[in-house]
Amino acid sequence: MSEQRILLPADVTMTDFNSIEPLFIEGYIDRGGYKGLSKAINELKPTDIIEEVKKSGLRGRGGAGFPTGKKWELVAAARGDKNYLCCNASEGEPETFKDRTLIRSNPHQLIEGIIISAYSINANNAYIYINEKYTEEILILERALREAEDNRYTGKGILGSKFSINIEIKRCPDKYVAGEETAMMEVIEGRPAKPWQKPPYYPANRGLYGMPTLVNNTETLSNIPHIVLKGSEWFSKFGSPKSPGTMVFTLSGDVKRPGIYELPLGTPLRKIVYQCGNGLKDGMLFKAAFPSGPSNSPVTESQLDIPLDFDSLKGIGSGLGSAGVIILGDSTCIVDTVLGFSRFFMEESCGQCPPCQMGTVKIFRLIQKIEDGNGDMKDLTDIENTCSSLKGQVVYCHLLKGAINSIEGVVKKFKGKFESHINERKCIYKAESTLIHS
Amino acid sequence: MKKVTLTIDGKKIVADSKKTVLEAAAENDIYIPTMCYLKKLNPIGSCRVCLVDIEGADDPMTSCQLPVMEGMVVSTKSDRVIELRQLMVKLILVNHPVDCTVCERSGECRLQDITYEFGISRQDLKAEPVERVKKYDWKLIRYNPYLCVLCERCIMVCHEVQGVSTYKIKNNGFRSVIDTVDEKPLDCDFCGQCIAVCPVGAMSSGLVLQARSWELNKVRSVCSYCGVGCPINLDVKKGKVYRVTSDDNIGINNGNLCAMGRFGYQFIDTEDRIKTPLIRKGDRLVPASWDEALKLVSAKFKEIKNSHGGDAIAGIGSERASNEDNYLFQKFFRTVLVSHNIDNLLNMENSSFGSEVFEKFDLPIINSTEYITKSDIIFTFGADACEENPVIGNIIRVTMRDREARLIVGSSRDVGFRPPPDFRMVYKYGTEVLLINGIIKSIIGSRESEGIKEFLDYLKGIKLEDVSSRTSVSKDLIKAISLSLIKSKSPVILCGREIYKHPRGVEIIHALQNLANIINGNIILYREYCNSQGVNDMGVLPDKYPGYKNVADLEAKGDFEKVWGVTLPVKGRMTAGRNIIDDVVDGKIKALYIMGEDIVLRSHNGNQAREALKKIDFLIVQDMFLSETALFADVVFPSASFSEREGTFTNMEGRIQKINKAIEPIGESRADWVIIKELANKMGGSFKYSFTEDVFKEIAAAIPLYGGITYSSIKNNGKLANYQSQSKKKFRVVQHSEIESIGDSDMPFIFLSGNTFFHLGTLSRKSAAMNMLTSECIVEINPSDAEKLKINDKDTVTVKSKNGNITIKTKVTNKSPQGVVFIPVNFENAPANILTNKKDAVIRVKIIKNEQ
Repeated sequence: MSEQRILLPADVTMTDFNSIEPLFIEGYIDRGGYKGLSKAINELKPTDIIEEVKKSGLRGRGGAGFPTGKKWELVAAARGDKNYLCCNASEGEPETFKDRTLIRSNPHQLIEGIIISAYSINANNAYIYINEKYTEEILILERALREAEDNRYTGKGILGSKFSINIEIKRCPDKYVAGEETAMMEVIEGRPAKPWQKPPYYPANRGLYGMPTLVNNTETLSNIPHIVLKGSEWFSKFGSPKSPGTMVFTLSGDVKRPGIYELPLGTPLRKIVYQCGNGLKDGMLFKAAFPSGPSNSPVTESQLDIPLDFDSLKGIGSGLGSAGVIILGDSTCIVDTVLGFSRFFMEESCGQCPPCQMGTVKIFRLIQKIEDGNGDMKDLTDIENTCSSLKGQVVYCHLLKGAINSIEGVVKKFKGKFESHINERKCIYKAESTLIHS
Repeated sequence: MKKVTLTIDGKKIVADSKKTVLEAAAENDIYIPTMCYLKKLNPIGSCRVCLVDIEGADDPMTSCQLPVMEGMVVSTKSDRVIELRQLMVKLILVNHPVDCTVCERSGECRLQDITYEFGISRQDLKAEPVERVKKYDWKLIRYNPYLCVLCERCIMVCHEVQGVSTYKIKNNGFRSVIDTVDEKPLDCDFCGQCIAVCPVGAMSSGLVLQARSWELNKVRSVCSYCGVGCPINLDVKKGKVYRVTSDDNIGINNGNLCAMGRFGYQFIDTEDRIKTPLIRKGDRLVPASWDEALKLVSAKFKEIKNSHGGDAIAGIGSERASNEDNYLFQKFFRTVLVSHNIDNLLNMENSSFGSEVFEKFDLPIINSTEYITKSDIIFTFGADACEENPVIGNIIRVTMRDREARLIVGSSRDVGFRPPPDFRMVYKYGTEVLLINGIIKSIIGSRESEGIKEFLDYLKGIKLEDVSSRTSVSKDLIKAISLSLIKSKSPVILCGREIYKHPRGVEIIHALQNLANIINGNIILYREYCNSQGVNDMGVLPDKYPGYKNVADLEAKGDFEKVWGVTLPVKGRMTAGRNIIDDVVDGKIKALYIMGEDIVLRSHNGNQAREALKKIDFLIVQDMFLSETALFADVVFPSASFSEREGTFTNMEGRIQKINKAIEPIGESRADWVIIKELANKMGGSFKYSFTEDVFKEIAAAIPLYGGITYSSIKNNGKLANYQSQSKKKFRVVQHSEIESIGDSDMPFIFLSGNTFFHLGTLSRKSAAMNMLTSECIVEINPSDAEKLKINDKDTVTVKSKNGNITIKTKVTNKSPQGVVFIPVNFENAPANILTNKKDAVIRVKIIKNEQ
């Protein structure tokens, strides 16, 4: 397994997280850092780099899995006086902190990726948009950015070329929607975090300050130096054909060893649960897994061998998202877990779209009623009906869609658990492990 | 501009590429329902009521935000969007109490209309109620979060139009409510734009409404406060004005009003209104009948005219009275009393400002505000664009938003703007001409010379270093401003109260005209009152007939003799260089007729005005209230307010607009022109007017400026008078001259005065709502000056000039530059004009801290 990694030098268990030692400039250069950048600037034209990234098959690691090279091409082709690059390092999804880990362990890998990407799309201004509560990571980034500037990797005319790049850190409010890419534009421009309607305008053609803007996830950008230096062929050896490369998984829930694991895409779920996580804790049996936090339908025991990549999970009505895998054991109440999810969505709805504002409250209240033992079968039908009526609603971001996906999935796959809550008029699990504390 | 072709509901449409689908549909009479959309704001897109289906798109989209694109196929009536729109409204209604019976917005509520229109009769969604806090401690504005639909119109109008950015959405999700940015009780401009745009009853005024919207009769009128002349509606029920509203897309203001315009109407119906004529009996003014009062005045006037001649009677017209009132006022003096002894206060006070500036029309300063909306650079000089004539501030702000126009703010106080201007220039009071010449020099220096030789020769003698050191504006700033003015394609210069009240006002305007000529720009002059322009146009001037025809001009005399059918006097002003008040003090005038003017508070020399009024043999004051001036009167005529009569006002653009009768006159009060007519006829005149229109007809016939305009043709947007400049490119050499400075050596501060934000003149002081916002007079002083004098905010101090002193509270603010203090003129308990005595001088004062 150890040879199958690109981004992280080693896996990090939850308990080791705080002792990660960041790699600063000397160490990074020592291990071949910034060679990709100098290759890009000295040997490659921007179009060559875009072509190489396209060939690598790299897909966005922020959740949607959009082909990265294609996105770059769109931005490079969009007409504007000034292009921008935004590195989205805000993590609002519960139980996901892969980007945080990447910045904590190797900030320069990200910075190098940003510079190369900016060079490819001709952006002279880049922003790293990071949760304001990640204070230590911000300090690490600040130091790394200073180092990069001192070594003339950023600033005016880098590496003797005519290309200039300025990278700035922008703090993201601790809100789930603030991580949505158009909400990010609003925050960077100094307004409240509220997503825009898309279409017609996507950041690629009209983003920050009305200019073409490339938005990439931290992990996506961290892959770039490696692709540029070692080539797309090398990269596509990792992972599955349609989802090449590795993914940094955040494993949590009822496993013995939760942590951050870098694995090739397409690795079966079973492997991550039983090898990385070392199986379920307290002698529990596997009940369900949420492969991308609370925003997607759960995977059940019969689907344990599903390869974890974008298309396979989509194929079974779930999704990989940003790979925050939550494992549930058989003595954890799934109704209570979903109650936590729905509370999260209710609290995090920004409130600008009426369906989301009202729908998330309604679903939360209904699930709470059932979990408390006060529900009846009508409430369960009500949940199903609400979910299906909210499905086609016009909202500006994916929050409501995520909420419906997971809740509808759980109700469908674990209807019996809800019915037993209703029939017993109580929760039969003495569940204390609520995943989401709000 | 680029055009695109698209299809909406099967109809082929060619639209401007910058339009949205909603706009393109509206232009082609295709209806799309909306709720949060407001034409004057950028699209908000919060309500989703305007959803449409686009061929090829997965989800429906909000048409208000969606730009038209080539080949787009739009459906506004698909089953899916109709169903979704209904669901949206149902979702909005979940938390909206259907308290329509007790809601003041019922009948004009967008949500009510849409619900009904969509045929929503059953609500199958429900949610448990959420506790919210009603905001009833926001002075004139109230917010009821239960009714709020979070459309964000209030936030956007406050930000985009008013520039205050007071509101935000607090909390998120279903707990979202509107709150002030700092979450403290509202402290803002109180323009009430948020109330006007609220589609439901969430934002309302604290002035409790006892009339349903459908019971209110909207009577179109014009705001009677400042010179902007915003069209307003007086909402009337059973003879009472309940509120003032304004319609979007009409007139100069596009539905926007300032605090005074929206809330300051209460003076119309207060206990203080004079209800009958009053006649002095000893120390007291006692009620009398109209007949009695008119007889008395007519007899007294006849007596004085016979013994001393018509010139012994003088009249002061009013900047707030209508054109018809002022026209008949001067006609009464000229034809019945046979005297040219009439004037208006601005002209009296400011070196013949009215007659000098408007006479020849070679100063194109009466211009439509369209020049602002079409400009790329706005240069305000001696004007406080936020606080003085606030609606002009709205126009500037919207121009900055829509055209990315740049703003230069120059003033002797640090007035600033919201959003902050591109350049901000604080100059030393009294050096304006020098500064403008410096800017011109800087412009000429960097481009090919053109124009008049004499003028250019004069400029050669000016040194920028010298200008900079004397005006205290840095050379770099002068250069930067010059540079941006040169680059501009359509600059506009606005000059405000500081200029028209300036001892060198006329010269400053001449200098600005030179500048405008060079940069090919236009000047717009602010006017203080609703008819400051009209009173001059109507010839309430001692040396000018209506339309600025010279009294000394025999041809003009002949013309007016024909129109009026009388023989007119040849002699003009009694004593050159002295105004009516001076002449009263000198004993040359025995009787004074003041119409709608409070000279005790508004003249530049309060002490002299009091002295004059004590000395005068016979004083008639025609006013709505027993003003400080009226207290000296021998006879008081009660005049009707603007809401009780018809007439026309001419605003700062030269736009003639109509006021209409909304309610019956309070008590026995009468329209000013009716009083003058009666008096004239009693004295043997032949004033045969039955309606206001008759007077206007004569005005239009007698004054070429108003020629060709019929009373009935004055509609919503008014009619621009024919102010056409004949010689636009006229350069004059305007030299800087030092202004005499009055004050002892221990009086370090330059004293400036003006209107405070929530008041204009003294009329607004009769409005309880405005007094709630500001009722205390303050002196503004710079923090560093305050520190030197050990003065804190809200300390009581005595401001002392050579002429007098007043005791007043302080406001320590950066708005006053060092060495300058500012006192508002609106407060009768602290009359700022006690400090001043000479009009052509800078008054210096000292400030003494009062011991507690």
